[in-house]
Amino acid sequence: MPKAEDIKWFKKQFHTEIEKAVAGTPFDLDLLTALACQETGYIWQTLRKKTGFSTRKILALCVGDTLDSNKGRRAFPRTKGDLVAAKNGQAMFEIARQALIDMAAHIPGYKAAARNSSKFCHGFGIWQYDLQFFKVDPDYFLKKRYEDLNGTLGKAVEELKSAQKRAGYGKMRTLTDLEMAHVAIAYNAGRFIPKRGLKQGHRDSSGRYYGEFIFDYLRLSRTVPTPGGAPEISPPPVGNAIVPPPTPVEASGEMLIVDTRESPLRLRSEPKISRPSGANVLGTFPTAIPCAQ
Amino acid sequence: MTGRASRGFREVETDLAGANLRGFAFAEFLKPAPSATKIPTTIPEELPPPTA
Repeated sequence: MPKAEDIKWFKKQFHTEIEKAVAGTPFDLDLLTALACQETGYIWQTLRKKTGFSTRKILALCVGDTLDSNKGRRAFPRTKGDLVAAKNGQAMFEIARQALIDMAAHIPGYKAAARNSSKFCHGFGIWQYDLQFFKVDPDYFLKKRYEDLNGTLGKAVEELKSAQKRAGYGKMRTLTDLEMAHVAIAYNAGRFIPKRGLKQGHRDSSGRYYGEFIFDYLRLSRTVPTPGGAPEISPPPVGNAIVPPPTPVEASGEMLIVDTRESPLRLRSEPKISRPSGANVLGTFPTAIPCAQ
Repeated sequence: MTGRASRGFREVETDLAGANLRGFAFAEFLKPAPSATKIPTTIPEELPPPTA
């Protein structure tokens, strides 16, 4: 599980290219960092500490996901047979198989899968573009574009734009951290269901969901500065939670003041009283609280 | 924000103990604020209060 010092290394290596790639989108360096932590952090955080691994070599070894139909995979290719039967499938299998062997030589958790001659990688690149897109963009995989930062980064941003629409935020030019985590869930699971909040996407053996991990990595990444910069959030003292700066009030219309006699004023998510009446209540305002329109 | 009342509600935003709240409140319980009124942004404490 990547920590602040791993994120510091990641940003030092890749921040320039990532910042260029996300310019003009609602995404930022910290979201791409959080996704990289979640998708392949267990690989690059290990390899960066070993001697003899260039950044290029680390990128090439950022492959994974060997689960196939017997573990619930429904997307193409569900098995080795599925892949081999596709156009250029045998060549792709050989690449995907070798990728697994090369990566498993350094990442112990994959050694058992590497011993099974039918197993191969389904995720390629530091942001894990999935082999289900082999039929759509075979060259990304066959020409190993995932080994190049810009190749894998371009795919990640492209996929995030698509996920932004699926999450229901297609027209938004800026996103909060929570909304970014929602987009990441759509990136991972194909869709985002608002009522489930962050408890969506892949669920690991500890019971935590992809959305929860992304949100935590996003917050952690915001405490880590880029080289020569300052962190967006001050790192908290050891043992304390990361607390983001408060969101300032943006409304600049008429100033109002809450004026109730007996009970606090309910703030609702829509201009109507729900059934039950508390269902759409976001919070309550005590009397005399100022607010802006 | 439209600034207009809708079905008796007005869309408002405020800072309540550091939490940014934005939504719809019943207009009948909102009055014009004095002209100098500002909404300060509350900065949370870095550390929890000491326990007794």
